Amino acid sequence: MKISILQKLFIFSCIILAGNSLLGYAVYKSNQKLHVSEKWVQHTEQVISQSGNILLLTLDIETASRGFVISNDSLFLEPLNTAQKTIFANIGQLMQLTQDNPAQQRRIDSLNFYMKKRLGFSLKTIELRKKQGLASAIAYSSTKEGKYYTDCIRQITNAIQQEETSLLKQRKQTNEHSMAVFNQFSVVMFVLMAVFTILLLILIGNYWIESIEKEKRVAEFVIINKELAFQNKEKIKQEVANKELEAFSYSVSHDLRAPLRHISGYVDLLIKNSSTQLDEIGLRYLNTISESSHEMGNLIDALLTFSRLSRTELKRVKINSKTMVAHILKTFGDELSNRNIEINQKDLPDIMGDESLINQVWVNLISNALKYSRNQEKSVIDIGGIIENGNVNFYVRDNGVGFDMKYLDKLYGVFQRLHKAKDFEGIGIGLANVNRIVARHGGRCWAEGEVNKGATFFFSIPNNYNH
Amino acid sequence: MYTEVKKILIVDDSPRDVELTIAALNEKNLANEVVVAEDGEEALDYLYKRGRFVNENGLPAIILLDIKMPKINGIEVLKDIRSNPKFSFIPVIMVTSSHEEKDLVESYKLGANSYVVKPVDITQFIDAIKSLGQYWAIINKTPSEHL
Repeated sequence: MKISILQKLFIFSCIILAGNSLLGYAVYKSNQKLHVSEKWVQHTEQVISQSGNILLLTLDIETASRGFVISNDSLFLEPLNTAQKTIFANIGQLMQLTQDNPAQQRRIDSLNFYMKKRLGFSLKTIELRKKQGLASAIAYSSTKEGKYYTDCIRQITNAIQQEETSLLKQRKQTNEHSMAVFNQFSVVMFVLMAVFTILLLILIGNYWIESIEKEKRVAEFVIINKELAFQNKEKIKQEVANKELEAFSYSVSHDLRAPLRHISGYVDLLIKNSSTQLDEIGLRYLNTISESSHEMGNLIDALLTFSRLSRTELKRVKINSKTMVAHILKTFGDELSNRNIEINQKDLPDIMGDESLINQVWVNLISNALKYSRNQEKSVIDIGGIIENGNVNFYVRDNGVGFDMKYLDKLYGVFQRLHKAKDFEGIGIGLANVNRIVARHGGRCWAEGEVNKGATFFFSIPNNYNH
Repeated sequence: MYTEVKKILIVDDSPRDVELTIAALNEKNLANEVVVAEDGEEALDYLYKRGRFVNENGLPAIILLDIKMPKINGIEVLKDIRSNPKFSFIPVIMVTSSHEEKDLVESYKLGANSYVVKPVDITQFIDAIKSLGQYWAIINKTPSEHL
């Protein structure tokens, strides 16, 4: 299962929230514990001081009775009276303080018991002193019963205090332990939270970058879609244009050629059969009509060939350029042997292309080079090809009449000529055909030239063959 | 071989083209008896001896068949000729106004023997007719006095 970045963000946020809650709860708990342990310290102090008080009061009682026995002065009895009033209240308070501790309660019960005994003993001694005199009071005291009670009370209060002290110690230890645990826990939690926060930040960063990229992609997608729609439209337009061109060329070839053929045919028949009845001027007119109709026929044929170049499907095969050029040069054999011509055939890489169409390109360029250099004393023609930037750039260079570079854009146009028909025959379709064929192969045509210095015609074909 | 008079059947809806074709044949002394059918329907009428050809007899030695014609076009006529054993052996030369490949490919698929493109120049047309020498060899090279 793949978790989306948004789901990750949500999960990490939840983890951090949970972690922080836990940490907060732990702090709260720890504070509470601290508070409780402070209370326990106070409580212990209270118990200790209370039991101390009780012991002091016990001693007050003892001292008061002893003082009265010796002096018979009731002034000595005052602390006893005070102690008698408060001592059991004090014991009651201690009882309340140690409510939760049965062992202490038992101790306090016995404290209470001995206290009553102690007080009873003191009161009895005082009564004996008052009624029977010093001797009987001393005799009663010397039974050491009173001392026994006091010792018991001292022991009990000590035990109570010790118990509380040890309890406090225990509690302090427990507290210290839980504080240490809490400290460790908070360190671990802090580190964890820090890690998760960093991860969350990284995730947010990633999400941010991703959404920026997404936006970019969406924008690109929109652009691509627009382009595709545009291309589609263009394609449909192109198809419609092709269909129209097809219909047009069909009608040109059939409908226009017929009357032309009739004009030409009947003029020829007229020349053949009735020439004796015509004077020289009439005959010249007829010849001119005949020539003109031939010319028009050639133009129509050229136009049809040109339009066919756009319509026929390319049959791409491996073309051995060297063999092809050599073969074409052979077909110009007569012209080559009758003229002073130097042909330099350089390297010609193989390509993938439509054999008959590429052959037309070479025939056009080579025949042009021969034609436009025929007035030179010696024609020099270079033919070659260079592999460059994934293309094979072929060229045919001649030292002929050349052309003015300012008419470069007219060079490849249909029926465009840069030379007079009386100087160089032709109808101006050759380079247009070359351009169309090369474009259909995904290449392009260009040329360089200078008047009376020669011209170089280039064409590139994508290099699908040489690697 | 056929014992009937060797006739040439020209199937063309344009009387001018017919006239020029006959002139071209004349030029080469090839003007046997020429039968003209003005469209595909007439061509089939001639072959099947019906309509205005109901009293005709014999079959042409060769057929010059224009492709673009009203009613039944040359391709359809060719289809009919090649599907009937009675005249499927007759050489058929397709005559076209251009080198339109579509028509030619289909014609050859259907069994056309050859084709000529009507050139603007009548002498070229005569040459084209002449280039079909192997077909003319099967008909009598009689002088033009027949016409």
